[in-house]
Amino acid sequence: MMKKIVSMILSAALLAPCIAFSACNNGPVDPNQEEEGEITLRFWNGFTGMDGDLMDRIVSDFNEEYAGEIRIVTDKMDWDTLFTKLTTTKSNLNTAPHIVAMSNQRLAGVVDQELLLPIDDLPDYLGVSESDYIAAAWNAGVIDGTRYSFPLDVHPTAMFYNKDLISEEELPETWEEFVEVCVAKTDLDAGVYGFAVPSMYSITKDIFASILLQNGGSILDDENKAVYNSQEGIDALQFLTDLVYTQKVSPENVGAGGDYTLFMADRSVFYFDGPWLLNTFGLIENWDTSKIGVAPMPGATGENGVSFSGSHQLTLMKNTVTSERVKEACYTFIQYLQVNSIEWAYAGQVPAYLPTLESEEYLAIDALQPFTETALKARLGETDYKYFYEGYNYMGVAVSNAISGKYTAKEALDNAVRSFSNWVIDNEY
Amino acid sequence: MKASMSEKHRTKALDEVSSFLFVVPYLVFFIAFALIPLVLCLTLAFCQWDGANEIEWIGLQNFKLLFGALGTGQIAKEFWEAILHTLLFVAIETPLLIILPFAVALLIHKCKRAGNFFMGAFYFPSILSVATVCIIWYFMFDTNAGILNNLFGQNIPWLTQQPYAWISLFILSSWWGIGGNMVLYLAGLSNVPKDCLEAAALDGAGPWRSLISITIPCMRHTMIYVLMMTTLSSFNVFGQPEILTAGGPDSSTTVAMMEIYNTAFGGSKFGRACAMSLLLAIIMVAFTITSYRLQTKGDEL
Repeated sequence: MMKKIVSMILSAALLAPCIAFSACNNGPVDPNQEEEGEITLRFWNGFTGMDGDLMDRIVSDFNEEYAGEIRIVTDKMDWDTLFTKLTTTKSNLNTAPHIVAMSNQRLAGVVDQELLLPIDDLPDYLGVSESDYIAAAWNAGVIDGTRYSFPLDVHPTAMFYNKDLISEEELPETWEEFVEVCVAKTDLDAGVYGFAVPSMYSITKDIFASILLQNGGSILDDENKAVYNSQEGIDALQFLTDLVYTQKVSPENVGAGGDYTLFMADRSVFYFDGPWLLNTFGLIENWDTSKIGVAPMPGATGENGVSFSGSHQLTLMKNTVTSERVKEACYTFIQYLQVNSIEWAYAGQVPAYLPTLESEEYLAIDALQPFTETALKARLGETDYKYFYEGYNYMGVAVSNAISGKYTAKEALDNAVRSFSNWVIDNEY
Repeated sequence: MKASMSEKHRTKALDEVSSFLFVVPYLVFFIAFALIPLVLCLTLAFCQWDGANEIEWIGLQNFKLLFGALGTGQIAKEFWEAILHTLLFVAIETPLLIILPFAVALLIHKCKRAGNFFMGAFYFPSILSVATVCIIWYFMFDTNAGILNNLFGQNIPWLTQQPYAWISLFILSSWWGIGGNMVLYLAGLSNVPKDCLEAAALDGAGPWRSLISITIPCMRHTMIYVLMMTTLSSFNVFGQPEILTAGGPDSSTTVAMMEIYNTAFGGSKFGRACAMSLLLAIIMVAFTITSYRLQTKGDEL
């Protein structure tokens, strides 16, 4: 009884400011509850880079087309802020979002907080099925048999290269070739390296995850236990560590962003990153004239090719999307994004919708093709587990510890697996 | 006689009311933004709350977990390691931010002509935001393409290996923090009675002697204030390691505030985060009281 009273008082105290602020607006609590008139939908995303500008353009085109019926109001914030605000604004119907874009890696955590609306009927509404989408992205939205999100894009890691330092014919397709090329291109006197391997938490963990998958390993097993300390994982991490200490094709102690700095200073041949950099490098417009090129990551394409990737997914919030009318408005917007997903490609993203990828206009964007090839073969990890994101971060610490030379590959990965499984037990309290 | 008495009473009462009225705006803000959150934090420390769903009263469970009496001890280990990192930062950064600004303030106080220029130069970093400061120093510290290593022809792993990562954070925080304390010291220095200094000089005291025996004792209160404020702000260190080292290498610069932040906002464990901040607050209070006692010991004699 006592517990119940305390809980009620606390909930009241925490909700009081929200209620007070809603009252200040003097309006109805949720204007979308009206039977007629324009529906306003709040769309939250973390596209704070150049991709965000393009998303804004898509939204404003949509608003023009559906003027008087549906109006989308976009709010952009960095991803961490977004997930915090999702929980804290949940009950405030004047500010909480209707549609939220999120990484597939965060989806299960948000589902666990019971914030999302199941959208099992969306594929029928859109008239699409799994065969219309990149399979991994399509399946990432289904957790325990219920669909909570709908795929927007896939954003794999690819290999950028400096055309002044390497020709297209010399590009490696396997990691063995990659080492050979790097050894041949490294010129310590000139301060030029094959590939600067960052030792701080960064893209290196995505590369590690890709090599782990290529070796036949996985991040979590069927029971969601971390298994990246398998022999396949140790080999993958040893391979990356050897690039620094044995083959010496990378300087030691490359910090976060240090790989980018060296690449931009013509001091490293290769640089790995996601498709959002295409616009930063101006590659979509200046593919032929740029000194930077891009190719698939070794081992990511071809018959047995595979790599680790992420995907942006669209979700609807349970608390705000409360009527069929509002839900249909949300679906209309998602349909618009699907039909116009070529626009999203210009933002430097690989749309998950296959008809777009096969369209002539898309195929003419040369810079995206290496990413597309990779995306079609990509895997997204066991992201239906609510702690996948945390497990992936522990793995990142292990990768960083081995590359900085603090631990051997095996020690680092064993430590991470142990810490993560202990953390999961603790976090349940 | 009687009339003037009651008038006196009335003015006194009026004074009290009006002085209270002056405090009201502050009081309202204090209650809304300090007292209520504090009480909520105290209560939430005994609850489980993910920020979205119902709040559940769980008694001492958060504290048991943080002291390793529940579970595997992993979260306890990560939390206390972070507390240790914060204590390390406080133990080194606080003396630096007390001594360095004092030395700078003394020099500026002595040097009449260029004083204003140096005051501006040293104060400038304090007006920058933590993100700006970190970006500036990020380009200085980068191992392979950074300005510092290029300038001195070195290959020091400033941000990726210990103890350099800590040294980088101390250099950055000192550069950033000197200005604020320097201004306080300069104000204190201008209040040191000139006649005392002149008398000391007449008695044959050198500059060192008058610094130790006159200037520093006269600035006692400024110094206590600087000490308190610097200690408290050092305990709250967050932005520098978050941006510059992301808590690495191997979580060695993950400080308590980062752990609390990640627990609340990444992990959505608001109750546990409140328990963590409560423990940190207790340590801070204990530290502040001890150092205040030590500083003011002489006053009672």
